Amino acid sequence: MIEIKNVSKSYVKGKKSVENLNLEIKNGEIFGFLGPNGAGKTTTIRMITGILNIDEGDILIDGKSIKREPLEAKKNFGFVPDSPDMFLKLKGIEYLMFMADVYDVPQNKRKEKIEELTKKFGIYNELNNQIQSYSHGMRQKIVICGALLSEPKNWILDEPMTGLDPKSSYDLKEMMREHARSGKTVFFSTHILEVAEKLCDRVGIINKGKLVFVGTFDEMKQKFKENASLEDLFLEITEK
Amino acid sequence: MITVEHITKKFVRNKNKKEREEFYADNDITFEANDGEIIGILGPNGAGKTTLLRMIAGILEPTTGKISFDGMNYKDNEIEIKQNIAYLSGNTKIYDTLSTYELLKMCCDIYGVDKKNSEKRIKEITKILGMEQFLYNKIANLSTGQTQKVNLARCLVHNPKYYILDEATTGLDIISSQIILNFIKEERDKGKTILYSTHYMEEAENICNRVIMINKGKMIKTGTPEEIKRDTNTTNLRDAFFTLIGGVSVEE
Amino acid sequence: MDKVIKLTKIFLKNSFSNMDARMGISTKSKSKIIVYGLLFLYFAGLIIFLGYNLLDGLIAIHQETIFVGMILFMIFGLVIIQTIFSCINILYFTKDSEYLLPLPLKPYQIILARTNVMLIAEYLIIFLVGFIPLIMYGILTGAGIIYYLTAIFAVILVPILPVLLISIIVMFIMSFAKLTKNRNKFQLFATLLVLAIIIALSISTSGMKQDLTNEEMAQMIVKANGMIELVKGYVPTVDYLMEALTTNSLFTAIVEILKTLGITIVGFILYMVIAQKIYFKGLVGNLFGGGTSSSNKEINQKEYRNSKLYKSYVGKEFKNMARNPVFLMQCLLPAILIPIVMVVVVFAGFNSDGMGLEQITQMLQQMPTNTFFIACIILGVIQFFTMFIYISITAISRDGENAVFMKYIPVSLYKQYMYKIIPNIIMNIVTIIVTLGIAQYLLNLPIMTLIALFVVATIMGIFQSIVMIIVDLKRPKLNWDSEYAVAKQNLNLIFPMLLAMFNIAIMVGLVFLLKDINVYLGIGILGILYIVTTVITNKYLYNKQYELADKII
Repeated sequence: MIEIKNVSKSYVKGKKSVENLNLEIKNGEIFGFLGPNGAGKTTTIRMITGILNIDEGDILIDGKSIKREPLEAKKNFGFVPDSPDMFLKLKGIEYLMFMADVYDVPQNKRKEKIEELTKKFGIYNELNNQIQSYSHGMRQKIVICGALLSEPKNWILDEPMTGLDPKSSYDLKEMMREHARSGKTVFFSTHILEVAEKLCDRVGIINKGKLVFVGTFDEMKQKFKENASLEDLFLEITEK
Repeated sequence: MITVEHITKKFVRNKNKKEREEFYADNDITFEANDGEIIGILGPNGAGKTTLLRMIAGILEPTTGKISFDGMNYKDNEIEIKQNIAYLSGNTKIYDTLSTYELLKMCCDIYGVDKKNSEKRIKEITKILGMEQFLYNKIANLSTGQTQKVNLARCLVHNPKYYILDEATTGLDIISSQIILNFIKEERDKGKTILYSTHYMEEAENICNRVIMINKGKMIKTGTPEEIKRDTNTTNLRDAFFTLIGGVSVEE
Repeated sequence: MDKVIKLTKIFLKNSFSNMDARMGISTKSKSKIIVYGLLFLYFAGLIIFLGYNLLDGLIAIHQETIFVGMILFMIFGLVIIQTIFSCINILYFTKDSEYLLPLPLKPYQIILARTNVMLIAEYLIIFLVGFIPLIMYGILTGAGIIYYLTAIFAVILVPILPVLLISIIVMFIMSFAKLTKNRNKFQLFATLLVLAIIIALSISTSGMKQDLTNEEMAQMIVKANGMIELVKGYVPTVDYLMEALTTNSLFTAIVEILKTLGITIVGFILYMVIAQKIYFKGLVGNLFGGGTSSSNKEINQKEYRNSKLYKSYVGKEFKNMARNPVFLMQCLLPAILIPIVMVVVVFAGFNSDGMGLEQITQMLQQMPTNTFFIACIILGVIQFFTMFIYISITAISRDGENAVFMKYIPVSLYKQYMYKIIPNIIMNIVTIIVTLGIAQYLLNLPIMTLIALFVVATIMGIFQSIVMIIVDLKRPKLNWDSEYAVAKQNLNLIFPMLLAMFNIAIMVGLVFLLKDINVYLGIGILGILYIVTTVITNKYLYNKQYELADKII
């Protein structure tokens, strides 16, 4: 469970990049975070994950405050950043083992978990190569594997579908659904509306630092025009 | 019209430290793209889309096969063809210390657009793509969406006849990609020939007149989105895609 | 031709403004001019000073023409070294190639523009180290206008051939070997080769540093002359230009210049023909090479073993540096190479001087060596060596945009800082051991002194590592597209030097203050001083661990 309470952040004095944000992502829920480029999506995710300091308010991950107990809070989530170009000089397996050491994955689970995840994404045979030699999609996949290795209760993914082919993004979506079904939380940002519509239990739309809508997709449609296309809806909401 | 006949591209790669193996990035690809048509090139990562488009753009030489643009081919008319194509691939910043305007100006120089026309053309493109706000900003400081607009803009200064667009909307939000898609549709209506590769099936369904699906270097299906849906008994292109590549492990 | 000039302009603009950004110079033109101006004046001054001394000596014995030969060869050699480093990057690994290929440009236009960029970069340096000394020569020998005109031609013409030559070699290598991943290896190899040449040169010339009698000087000059004569045979342009520069006849000068021009043009045509044939093939092959080589080896079961986080993290840091040639050269190798080079140079120097090494050590050991003064000299030398170890000063920047990783994993930042400086401390210790080994060989110190020196030097190493990571945290360079931006063109790299100078100054001060103090007491005072400062800086790093990470976004 992720609770965002009255959170504000400004980079420049007097200009708030995120303003008074309140959100609660419940257990067993897939939550899609939508908004145009530059709306405050990345800032919000950076605050949840402890990369940015929070000016006002607080964020709790499974009850642990990222402000006051950062290490405890960070143990409770797995994060997939938007750029997968990480640790390019390490071999795939070295990267995964490093992540396992960082997140304290027990010895007996490592092999099983790594094989399960990498086989699912079809990168098992590449594990002995340096990540540098991977394509964009494969890099994305290995980063996802690294984040999911410790079976975190909360998944936080920043634009996870970018660069994945339909088969891989299908696999990832299935994994997200499975995760939510087992009572855990998925929070991800995207700009592809179709993905959000089919996948999310609820969506939040952020524009110019403010949350302009939270609810199910159907509620969103009802609240705005009945039969409008997704693009129109999105445009209408964000252009207000 | 772009005609592609029996194009094959063979690479040699190291299987392991000692052995080498040949593999076909593209194998016997044939199609025609008519004037006023958008052809979608679809397929999983590593299917051979990018290699195919690179060959058509004249960057890579095909191992065998023929490519021609309204009768012109790379052997005899390389410069004429390149003078008329727009090739866009990925979303990368180049010459990021220049401003958008400087970059466009430079492209005009390289394409030989004369001074008077180049100013006019840059103004026109700026308006179509909505780049007024950042025309004089350094490219390094632009956002993802803005960068991709600049990338598209630099391919347009010479008013090309053939478009070869490789994942032009990857990573863009809906507003930015909508502008680009609208532009592509308008160009089609002007009778231009457009090749368009994408991961977004919905996008392909929306804008493409015809679609070519590639898997492991081979063409596995071609036709209008409607035909493909009908043939595979599906209601949308995404499901059709899965039916066609048949749950085969895609990464291999 | 028009397009070539335009392309050249764009390439230049791009590479120079990139350099600015990397050097951390703000785009405000005023401060930029001042920084460049100061650098320029500094180097120009240095060159004038060195050149003047050499030339003065040569004129005294009427051998000044050798000077011209030396300068021309220096230009030649410098251009070769520079080109080895820049050529492969400029020709094959610039990011814009994929963009240029679909443009309506003929291959020769792209090659010409790229070659121009290389040449112009060379000319900037040649002006400093070549043109200024040649002008000096002209002034001191009272040469006429013909000389100066010839000098201009010389400076313009000499660099062209070596650039073409190296480029051709590189093009052949790149088109035969499928080098998608081998750039790094190639550069590493080239760097080591150049290093070997420098070591060899310093060995063969190390005899020169001593004061020479006139007789010896004359001998040396004959030797130098002989060398120039020998090499000249292989490099005709230098030969002709030397002739042109030292002749008094206008006719000879013109003929020699025309000869040089002729050879250069022939070389150029050859270059263009070869480039047209093989450049694009290699370029395309490298850009899109035939897929990656995949090793389908089964994963070793050992890979799955648990390890302690600190081991894993420090191991990651080492792997990242060792597998990245630029970082390897800048961060890891100096710790071993610099002391070894020093050893080679020192020993070879003694030997060529006719004085045996044993005599030297005997002589040194007759003096009182176990003093605080000598101890401080050894520590100062260690400071001098360790300031070239750029591990800690680039610890954060090396990760680039990926540095945010540190902030979202459940490991305290302070711990991670520690993991990141451990490699620096380890490499410092390597340097300390090598240096103390040499010192021991030369001075035969008591074992207690060695241990005491080792301890203090290690503490100073820890202090240095902590201070440097703080500097890197305060001024990180996270947006880079080439490792050079971090490990070479990074203004932060002055800080290890400043700190070393500061440390040396403190030791000088102590030596003056404490004069004849007992060696152990002296080292002890120094040790306590650095323990205290280390503890304080460490406390600062610990207390401010979160604030310090603010720049990592």
